[in-house]
This record gives sequence, structure tokens and C-alpha cells, in this order.
Amino acid sequence: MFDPDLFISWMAEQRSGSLATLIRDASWASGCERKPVTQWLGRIEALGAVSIDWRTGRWSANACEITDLPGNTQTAVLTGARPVGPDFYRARGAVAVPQGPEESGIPLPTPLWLQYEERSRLHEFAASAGVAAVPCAAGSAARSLGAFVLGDLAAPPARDSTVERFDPAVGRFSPVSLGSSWPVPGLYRFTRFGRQPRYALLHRPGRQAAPGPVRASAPFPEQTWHSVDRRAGIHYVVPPAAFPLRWKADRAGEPCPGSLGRMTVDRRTPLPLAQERAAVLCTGLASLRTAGTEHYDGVPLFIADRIARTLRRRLETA
Amino acid sequence: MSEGSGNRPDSRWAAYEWWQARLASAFFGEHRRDTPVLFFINDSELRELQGGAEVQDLGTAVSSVLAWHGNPYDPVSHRCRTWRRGKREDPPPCLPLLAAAVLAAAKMQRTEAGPGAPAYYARLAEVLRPAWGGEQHRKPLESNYETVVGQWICLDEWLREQDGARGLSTVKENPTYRKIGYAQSQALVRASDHAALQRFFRSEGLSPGRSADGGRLLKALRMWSAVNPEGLSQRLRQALDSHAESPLLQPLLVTLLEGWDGSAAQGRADSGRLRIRLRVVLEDEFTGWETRWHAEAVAGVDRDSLQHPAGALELELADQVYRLSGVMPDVARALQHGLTARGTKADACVEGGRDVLVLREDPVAGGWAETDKLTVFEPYVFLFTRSGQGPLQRLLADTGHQWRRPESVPIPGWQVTPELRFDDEQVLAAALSRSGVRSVRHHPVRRLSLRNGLLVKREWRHRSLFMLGAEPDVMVPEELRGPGLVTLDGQPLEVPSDGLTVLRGRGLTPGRHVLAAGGTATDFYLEPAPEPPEGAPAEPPGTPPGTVAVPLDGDVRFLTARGHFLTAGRPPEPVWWTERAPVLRGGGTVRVTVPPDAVWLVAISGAGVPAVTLLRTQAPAFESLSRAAKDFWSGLVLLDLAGVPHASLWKRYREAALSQFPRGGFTRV
Repeated sequence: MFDPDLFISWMAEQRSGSLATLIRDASWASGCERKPVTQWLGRIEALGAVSIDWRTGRWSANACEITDLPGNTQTAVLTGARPVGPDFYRARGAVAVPQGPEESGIPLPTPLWLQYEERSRLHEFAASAGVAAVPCAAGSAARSLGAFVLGDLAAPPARDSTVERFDPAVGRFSPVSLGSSWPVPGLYRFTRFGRQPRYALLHRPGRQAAPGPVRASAPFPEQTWHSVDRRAGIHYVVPPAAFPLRWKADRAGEPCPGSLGRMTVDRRTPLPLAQERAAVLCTGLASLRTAGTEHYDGVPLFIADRIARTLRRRLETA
Repeated sequence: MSEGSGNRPDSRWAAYEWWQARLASAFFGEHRRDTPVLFFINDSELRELQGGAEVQDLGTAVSSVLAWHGNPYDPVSHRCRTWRRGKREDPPPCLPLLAAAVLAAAKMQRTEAGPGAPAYYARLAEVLRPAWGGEQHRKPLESNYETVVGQWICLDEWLREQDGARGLSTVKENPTYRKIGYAQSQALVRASDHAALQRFFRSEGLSPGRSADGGRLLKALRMWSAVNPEGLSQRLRQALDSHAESPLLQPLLVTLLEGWDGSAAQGRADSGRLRIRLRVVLEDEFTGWETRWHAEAVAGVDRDSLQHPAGALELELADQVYRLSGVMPDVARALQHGLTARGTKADACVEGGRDVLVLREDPVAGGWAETDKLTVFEPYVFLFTRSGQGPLQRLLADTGHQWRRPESVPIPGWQVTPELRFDDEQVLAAALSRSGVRSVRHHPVRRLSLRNGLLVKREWRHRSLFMLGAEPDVMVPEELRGPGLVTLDGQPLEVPSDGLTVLRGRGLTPGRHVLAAGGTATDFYLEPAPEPPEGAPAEPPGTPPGTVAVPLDGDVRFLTARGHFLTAGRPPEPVWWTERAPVLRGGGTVRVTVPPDAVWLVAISGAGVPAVTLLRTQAPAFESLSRAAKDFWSGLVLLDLAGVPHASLWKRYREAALSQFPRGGFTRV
């Protein structure tokens, strides 16, 4: 019964609101529990329909636009929160592929594309659908990606927090105790009773993280805690060669920067939102998820390379 | 000097007389014309009546004129006898004594054994006591109470003599509590309850001025108040729940119905001014919770200036609510101590002494607004103090909620819970009664109510306008779940056993829809998502000169005047089109540069359908063709472009190509 396109239209009409209320409404509309609904919201956030501030608990719908896909195929995709259902756009020449339920059990909104021969057709469509036509958003997003910078200074985890440290070797968080030793630099997750987990980087200028605890007699007054997004923090602490990003060209032969291919990411090191949006905008489709990986299709080599570079990760091509 | 010395000036009587005048103007003034007089007195009413006057409190003022060595009420009784012989323009001079009798009734706690006489006289002996103290005065107060009954009758007679000009009498003998019933019934219903009771009379279809059965009236009011508790005082609601107090209420309700003129009055404070309720509103702003006051408009008050201890709160009507300005009452202080702000037409009040407040989303208030009702399937947040946390935690634990860390609010000493809602009516009712949370009552679902649904146009503050396709569910109360009892737009609606009936997927059309059951109706509206306004086409960037769009799939070649072909360099269709978006296959194009010597563009689709486009006009000048060129032309020489402008030129090219093949090499089939 759940119609994801209807729900997106409603979000476009609402424009913004409280995340808690949105989760409640989406739970009712989809008949699903909070956890799959939250996963689903994360997916439509990556698709660019909505922007969510998970910390402050607010959301806002993104403007609906039509933008070219990379690859010079004169194919454009509708992005953002569409105010009306797919039939409205199909009547104006767009094509659609309804999406089935995915991992969360909730279907994603229908992607809509427009194929054209002349650019005037693209602009005619944009005008009749009341959307803006923008140049290739995937390319723009990739170009605007920046290298990771440390976030705002943050307080160390509170004493009553449950603290875990990300182990870059295995790609998982493991419990640590901060009471008996000085913490080593790295990505930490700390959870206080009844609250969302928080993530922080412990940064020590000019020194690399050493495995194992440091003796309490060796303080490092210069080390600082910084608040960080979980996914960005993971890439910051993972060595470039660990869990490499992979890109496989669609066609055999020597790829050029514009060659399209499939980028694969280990789910233990998921792309930060900005990088994921750049990858998703290459097709308008959410990543394909398997048990251990996420695949992003139609990604030009130059975008894959840009994503890897901004994350200080190695890109393996095939 | 004897106590029965008449109305001579006497300092002992000064305070008593001040109270007589104050009570007469507040309760029996000319503004009370044709309205039932409810002589409700409690401590807060007395404080309000006393204001800043330097006068003894009511109890002391009355006690000081009583005759503690005989019938204590004799001095007042004597004054009344004197008054009877006069013009009787003003109320009988027994009002302070009767007010003290009502005050004693109001002080009786629910925990005491009902409204029985022992409990009443105990409280009366606390209100009225000789200056020298002691405990011996209760007995004469009780044994001579018949005198007070006589004064109630005196007041009743005087009101009737006035023919409604000073209010309609609600003083009536109570068959169960013959003596103390006069005071006790006045302590149950206050003037501010009157508007709600009039709404009740109207909703029940009762006829003004007609007698009714008190028992039936009370039963109907109990049921009605469960759904419509707004405007009913906490004391009256308690009395409705108490079977012991039924005998007090029944005759009073009958009297009020008899005196009703059929109108629906506004809520009034006991001062006679219209009552406006100030409610706390929390807004979940980007930077955290913010708090403010909210006041819904009442008819007859467009603006007023309400005085409160910190200054003047200005009201100005703005649609359904008042725009508030001036000096805002401090929220924390008002919640702790209560607040009354008085204006010329209206009073605003905030009930103090609460440790837990429940707030529900209120589009009119634009945030989470205070309510005193809890029901199922509605989201709520709770504001609570440290001492309210225990009862609240019990309530949440008993209703299956996990206690989540509360958030700070800008009200010192208060915190707010995350949003939560209740799903089980019986569990909620039981948990609420066990929890110790006061000033919040369970609101059982007794009528059709809309749940969930996706509301649209929130800025219109319309609570029943939903998006088409996201229709609300309807909760049907247990007694209406039988077959055929509920209809949707006149058609019977099948109701599941839990009562929550889904309206989605029924193909409802835009517009109004009506749910009806048990003589009541609930409507809602559906609206499709509005189509976005059409914009003006932007000026597209010009097509790059010397380029042409060619399909990604199929065979695409340029043909020259010499009959040679040039293949167009094109990217392949993306692989993901095949795997994830087959609908895109065959529709992609690419813009390629036209070779300088190309005359024709020939595109043969994957299905073998050729399309020929003239790029520039040039007569054929074929030389000998390569084998590959002949193979290509062999698929085109029979392609006739009849009806297009360049058909003749294309024919000349076909003829030129044919000349390259041996005679008889092609046969039209």
C-alpha cells in the first residue's frame, strides 16, 4: 500500500519539519518500524530528495531539478523532492522504472529520466514540469568535494559513556576503556544512556596512531577531540590501501576519464553523504547493496577518482 | 453589648460588612441578571475577592461576630430579621456566613469519607473559630446549623423576589443532605463551569426551562464530560466521578437546566469576566526548545489589557487566537504558583502547583500546546519537574515506554520528554490512575476520531485536510464496531475488531468525505498534490555548430556525395541501462561532429528500421564503391522516402548506388 512517490510529494508540500514526526508519519504510511524507516530515510537522503540533520532532528525537502547524467548520453534525471507523482512527468515525456522493496523492506521512489536529442527539448520539459534544468549535477558535486578537514573541537567522551574505537584493520568498532590509559588517536563512538551515538576523532598532530593503549605516564596535551560524521571519520582513519574503492569500466579497453563504470565500496567503509550523492547522481539510482558491498553504477572514472582522492583512499580500477 | 444589637456601627462588624458588600457585588450584582448564581467560594476565590484590601479574612471576619456562648449564628440571624423589615433592595446580610459555609464544603478533601456531615462540620470548625481557640466550638456550630439553613432559604426567597434581576437562584433543599447540602452543592459547581454545562444541555437536545430527571441528567453529563471535559472545573469532574456526591449534583443540575435560556454562553470566570486560558506552548526550534504562551480567542473580546503581578499582558485578536504582547508572565513562576491576569472584559488564568504537564501538537498554537487530556494514537510530550518525574516514569513504564533522556527547556526546573504516544486505551487508563500524575485525565475514545494520515497545507491550520492517497485511519469506539453502524459517505464501513479502520486504498476522490456513526458525524477533506506551476522555457544554450544528435544504439553512418560511408564515433549505451533501467535502452543519443563531406546521416535501429536525414544538399558524384560500401548501400537502395522534401535527391543517390551493382542484382519483392 505504501506509495513512496506520494510520500515524497507530501514531503515536498511540507518543505521541512521535525525528524521525529517524519519518522512517525513514514512508519504509519509504510507500516514499518522505526529502524527500517530510518534506513529508508537515509537512502532517500542519498538520492537527494531530502536533507536531514540527524543531530538536530530536522529535515527539509530539496528542490526538484532536472540534470544531465554524465556520459554524454543526452539523458537527464529528475532529482530532489518531486511535488507530484510520476504520471505527471511521464505525461510530459519522462520515463520511469518503479522500484521494488529493498533491504529496508520499503520501496524507494521511482526514478524518472528524460531522453532528448535537442537541448531545447530538455528546457521545454523543465518549463512544463516547473523544475529547473541544471548542468550535470554529478560532475558539479564531484568538483565541489573537498578534502577532509577536522571538525569543531569537541569535549572528550563523558565518563558515563559507553566508548568504542574504530579498528581500521577490521572495519568495526570495539569497546575500549578510557579510564586506565591515555586513548590513542582514532575514531571513537560514544553512547550515553538513551541518546544517539556520537562520533569524535581524537587527533594528535604529527603523530600516527600506534596500536594498543598508551601508558598513563605519557600524556599528550596537544591531542584534541573533534566532532565528526561517522562515515567521514571512518575514511579519515582507514589507511588508503585498506578496503580500497574499486572501479570497473563498463567496456574492456583503456578507460578515459569520461568512461563509465561501476564503483564498488566496502560497506564497512561507506561513502560519506557528499561523496555518495555525487555517485548516486550519475544514474539517479540508489546504490545496489549486497551483503558486504555497495555498487554505484554509471560513475565516470574522473568522478570515482575524485571521490577516492577526497577520501584519501586508493582507487583500484579494472 | 449584646451580639444582637442590630446594625449599629461596631468595629467587630466592619470586616463582616466589607465582605457582605464585596460578595454582594461579585455574586449578586446587576451583571448577574438572568444568569444562575453559583455561590462558589474557595481559598483562591477569596484571595481574588479580597484583592489588596486590608481587611480580615472571611473566616476571621465572620467568627468575630458570632456568639460563641449560645447559638453562634444568632447575631447574623438577628441582622437578617432586621433586614427583612426593610426595603430588601440588597441581598440579605448573611452572605459572609453563607460564604464561610461554602468555603468549609470546598475544603473537604476527596480522601475523606464522602460529603458526610462529620467531615463537613470538621472543616466548618476550622473556618469559623473563636478568637481564644480551643476545640469546643464545633458542637454549637453543628447543633445550631438549622439557623444557617434558614439563611439559605432567605437568600433563595430574595433572589426569587428580584425575578432574575440579580441572578437566578440555584439554592435548593437537598433531600439527602438536608442541612449541609445547601453549602455543599454550591461548592461543586462554579460559574466557570456554567458555559460547559450549557454546551452539554445543547448537545443533549434538552429544552430550556423544562424540568428533567436529575438522575438521567447526571448520567448523561458523566458520559458527555468524558469526551468534552473542556471548561469543566477539576472539582466538578471529581464530583461527577463520585457516586457519593451524586445526590448533591442532581438537584443542582435540574435547577441549572430550569434556569437555562437556551443560549450557549462563553466561559466566564467567577468574577463575571470572560475566561481565557493561557496555555504553555513548546516549539522545537532549530536551536532547541522554545517556550511561549498561547491564548485562543473567545467571542466578545477583541482586545484587552490583563493586569498581572509583573505588568500588563496585552491581547489583540488575530484570527482564532490572540496576539500577545506587553509583559509576558514568567512561565516557571506561573506554573509553580498559578496566575490570574485580570482585564476589563476577560480574565486569563494559569493553574499552578502542577508537576507534570502534557502537551499535544496543536497546529493553531503552532507547536506543542498544553492539554489536560490524554488519549491513544496521539503524539504527546510531557513537561515535568523533578518531583513530577517519579509519577511520570511510572506512567510511561506502565504503558510500555522506555524512559528516554529528557531534554532541557527554557523553563527553570522543568524538562521535556521525547515525543511518545499510547496505543492501548485500557492500559493507559489504568496506568494513569496508578501513576499519581495529577491534572491530566484519560480521554476515552467515545466517538469516531481520525488518526494518522498526511495532513497538507499546515499553514491553513486545517486539521482535517489530507493528501489524496494518504487518507487518515478512523478509530471507532468499541460500542460502534458492530456491522453497519459506521458509514463512510453513506456506505457501510467494515470495522476491524480493534476499531482502527484504514481508509487508504478505497479509491476515495478529492473533496469532502463524511464518517457517521451513532448520530454523530466526522468529516475530512482530501486534496491531490497540486501540480507545479508551468514556467517559461529557459533560453537553451545553442546547439554546437557542425554537430548532430545520433542514437547510441544501432548502425549510424554518414554518407558522402561519392557514396562512401563514415561511421560516427559514439559511446556505447551504459551497462546499467540494461541491468537497472531497460526503459532507457534505445532512447539515448549523443551529439557528434558532422564530417565536412557528409551529405546524409543514416541511422538503422537495432530492430533494422532505417532513418535518413539530409545534412546538406549536394548532388551524388559516385565513383566506384568499396565492397563494404556496396554492402551498406544494398540495405538502402530500395528505401523510398516518398513524401519528404528531399525524396528526389535521395532517389538520385539510390540510383547512383544501383548503378554500382550488376544489372538484375535487386528485385523488389
